Parts: sequence; C-alpha cells; structure tokens
Amino acid sequence: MRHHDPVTVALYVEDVLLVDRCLTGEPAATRELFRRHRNRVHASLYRVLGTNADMDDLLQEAFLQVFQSLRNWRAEASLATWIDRVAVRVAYRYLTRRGRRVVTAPLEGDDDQVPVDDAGGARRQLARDGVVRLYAVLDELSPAARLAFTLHEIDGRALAEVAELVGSSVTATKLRVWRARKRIEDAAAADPVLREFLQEAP
Amino acid sequence: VTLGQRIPIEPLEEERLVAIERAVVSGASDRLAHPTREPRRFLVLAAALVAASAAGIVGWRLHDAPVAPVFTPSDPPALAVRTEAERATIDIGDARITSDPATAFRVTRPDGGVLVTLERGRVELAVDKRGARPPLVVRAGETDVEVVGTRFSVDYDGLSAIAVRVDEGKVKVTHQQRVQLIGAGSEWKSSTGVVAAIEPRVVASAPVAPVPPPAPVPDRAPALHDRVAAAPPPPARAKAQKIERRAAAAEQPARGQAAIAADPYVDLKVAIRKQPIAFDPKLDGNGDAAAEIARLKKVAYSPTTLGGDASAALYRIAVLLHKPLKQDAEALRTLDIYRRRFSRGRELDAALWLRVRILCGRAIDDDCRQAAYSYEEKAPNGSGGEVAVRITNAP
Repeated sequence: MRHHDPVTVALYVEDVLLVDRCLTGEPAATRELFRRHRNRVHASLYRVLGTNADMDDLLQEAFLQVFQSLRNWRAEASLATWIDRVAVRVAYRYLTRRGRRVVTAPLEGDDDQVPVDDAGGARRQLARDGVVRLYAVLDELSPAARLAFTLHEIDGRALAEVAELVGSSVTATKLRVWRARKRIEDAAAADPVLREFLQEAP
Repeated sequence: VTLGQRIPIEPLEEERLVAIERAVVSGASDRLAHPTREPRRFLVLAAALVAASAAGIVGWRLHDAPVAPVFTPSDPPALAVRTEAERATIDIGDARITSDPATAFRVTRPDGGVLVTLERGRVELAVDKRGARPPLVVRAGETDVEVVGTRFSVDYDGLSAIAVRVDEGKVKVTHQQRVQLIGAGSEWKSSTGVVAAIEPRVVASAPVAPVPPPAPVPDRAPALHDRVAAAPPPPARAKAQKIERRAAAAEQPARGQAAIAADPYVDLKVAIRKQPIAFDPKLDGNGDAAAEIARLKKVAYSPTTLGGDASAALYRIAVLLHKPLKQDAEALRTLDIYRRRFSRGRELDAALWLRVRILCGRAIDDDCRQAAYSYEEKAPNGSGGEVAVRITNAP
C-alpha cells in the first residue's frame, strides 16, 4: 500500500501503534479500536443487510473476528479496509446461513402517521416504503450479488474496492452488480413505489 | 443524492452499543489469545534462508582452525518456584518465603542481596534485620518492595494489581518512581496507592509443603521466622503493633498526601470534582434539603406541572440527594427517572454529568465508564466532555 500525504501516513502509523497496543491485550486500546471503526462497520452492515434484528450480534461478531485475526493484519491494506473485509465476510456468512432471507426488523417510527398534505412527510414515507421494497428484492439475490450491489450502489464504494473486499475480480463484481441492478429494475417495473423511489435516486 | 444517502441508517441505541462494546472488549482478550493463523509462506521461506545461511557459516567456521570456546560468567544462581495447588515455604537462610497456591516467583542473589521476582500470586516473607547488608527486594511488575524491617506479604495478579501488607517492621515501596514507607499494620495497594490500617494477621500455621529447616548455626541468635512461627502474635507484640498503628494514624496527614500522589486516578478524580454542578446547593442555597426535596417532589410529580418545571424539579432533587444529603443511591434512581421522563430535558446534560460525578466518585470502574460514555455520546458539547473521554479511556 502506498501512502503519500502526511495525514494518511500519520493515520497509518496511528493504526499500527493502536494494533500493537491491542495485541498486548490493553483493554483501552481494544475499546479505542472498536470506537474508531464501529460506526463505519455498522453503516456498511446496515447497507448490506438493511434494518436487521441480528445487527447487534453481527456487529459484535465482526469485531470479535477482527480481534481474532488481528495478528494477521500485515499493514499492507489500511486497517479500515482490512476491518471492512472482515465485516463483509461476516455479512456474507450471515446471508449464506440465512438462505438469503434476512430477519428484518420493523423500521423505527413506522407507526408514525404522516399527514398526506405534508410534502416532506410524504416523501419520507415514500422513502421508507421504497427501502422496504428494495431490500425485499435484495433478499432474492444470491449473497455474492447482494454484497456486490449493496457495497457498490448503496455503500458507494468503487468497483475495484468492492472486488477487493469480497475477494473477487473486478469483472466478476461488475457482472454481479449488473445482474442485481437488472433484477431490481424488473421488480421496479411491476412496483410503482419502488420505481418512484429509485427514480428519485440518480 | 445517491441511493445510499437516501437510505437512513438506524443508529444503534446507546445501551446496545455499550453492551456490544463490553462484549467486544471482554471477548477480545480471549480472541487475541487464540488467533486464527494464516499460512505464512514467506516465514517458511525466511526460515529456509536463515537455515541455509547458518549452515554456510557453520561450515566456514568448521573449515577454519578450531576456535577456543569463550566462557562467559554465568548468571547468579536462581531458584524458580511455582506452586500450583499448595502453599509452600522455602528458607533461604536470611529469609523465609511462604507462597500461596498458584504463585510463581524467582529468587536470585544479585550482589549479595536477595531479589524475589514475583510473577504472580502472593508471597509472605519473614526476614532477618538486614542491617548493613544489601537489601532484600520483592519485585512485582514495576513495583519494588524493599525490606527495611521484618514480616510482610506481597500480592500480585501478574498484571498490574499489587498489594503489600506489612505485619511487622517496615518496607519501602517504589512504584512508578514514587517511594513510600509502609509501616507495620498498614497495607498499600497499587490500584489506589492508599496506605490503610489493617488488622494484625494471625500467622499461618505450619506450611503444607515445608522445606526442612536449616541446620542450627551455633552462636547465632534465632532467626526471626523461628520466633514468629507460632500462631497469634504474643500480647506484647500485639500491643506494640497497636502503638505502631496509633503512631501511623498520627502520621496520617503526611501519608495521606503521599497516598494521593500515588493514586493513578487522582488527577482524573480532581478533574471530575472540579467540573461544576448545575444548581449547586452550596452556591444556589437551600435551607433545609429534606423540606426542599418534599416541595420539589410535589412539583415534579404533579400532573399540572409543565414539562420544563417538572424536569428542573426532578434534577434538583437528585442534586440535593447527592450533595448535602449524600444519598447517592437515591440520587441515581432519581436521575434514571429523569432520563426516562425527560430524554430531551433542558437539564439532561447536567443530569448525565451528575451520574458521572456520583458513579466515578466511588471508583473508576465499568459503571463509571458507562456513565461517562453516555455523557460523551448524549452531551457531545457538554463542558465535561473532555473529562468523560479521559474516564472512558482510563485503564
């Protein structure tokens, strides 16, 4: 891995020192590592799996896996990328184990009634419904396709990065994303709510 | 706006995050201890290279004329002792060391002195007066306990917690470059650094796995351990200890200062106390705290009271319970009610800080850290934020 700007180098050194402290079993370092990366890992897991009743267990498992493999981090990739890779593996195993079906928890505030004449409220309601429908379609995809699509289209990662995270080639990743997109477009053709939700996105 | 930005991420509640963090921190040590090993081919390659180089060097050396062996002075003899299931006693002539089960220590004699390096567990020592002889030192982690007097024990968990208990005489404890003299009837702990008076210990009966006593030395006064081997100390000794303890109590202010300096959390505790309490009864005044609480309760729990007044009243009740009345358990319960009822109350930051102050005033432990964590999360702009972060990172 190449590090050019001083900020990146400083972060890299910080990561190395933090990992060293973790490896000595220092609880404060463990806590610090968790706190530094938890939001990003949680966000990634959330975008891949949607609102999920098992999220606590998954986040916990991801970090426990991180610590179990921490000695294997060779500082070739940034610590964040390496942790993301571990988290993606956890998500993949979860999807495989669950037979693609994700235990979806009700969205926070689903019972809130939005006045119809409130334009902002109606848009938020559409977004909520659209998200539910989108993840329902994602549930039908293979774990690998779902990971590729969500990491690229929802989590906003570049194809090359997604390929690295899932341990696949860029071509294969691109193909999976394309297939998933096709499947979602087909579903949207039959579902006006999903169509409208997707049309609002670029 | 990308698709991702349009999908709201449901934040994890603080309690859940705290629970996950605790599980991760507690599980991490176990996972770190049992890592998954990836095959490291480069290591195998490196090992092969090193072996080839070593073989080459050895061959070259054998090819040359024989080289005379170099003798280096051997290390001073060391006695390594590990007791797993039983107490054991060893006598090294001028000291007798009794160890608890699951204790590991090593005895060396550098420069005529005695160095007992305690790896973990607990040892009790009965030591002859050192006089002009080099010192006897018990080393536990980074703490040195130097024997000035006679009978004491050192308890070490192998990581950081060390307790030194002195039954007779005096010892000198050097911890983090601070030196403290601990007298008879006192106990020092690395966690607090506080020297506290203790009850005299009843001397243990015969050890389970005794080492045969040393052969009697003519014209030599009986060793101290011979004198203290009997169970409770003789009345005269007990009386002497009582006098020593009284003297130690008289010295308390001076010791207290040293103890505060040695407390690893002393700065943190000072910082916590320095943080002002919103509505400090001392500053804002309250004549009769109990009467004031009774009045505030009517306000807080009245159905006709507006939210803002009720939350203020509830918070003030907690402050009054904490500060003049020192009913901290009740204050914490009140603060919990406050948090449940007024999750967006005007005094929420202050209430969260009061929890930190109460819980961390007792000890810098998990409850305290959780309170600090809650404060840090829910009151990110609170004036105590910096202190809260320090608390959560306190070892």
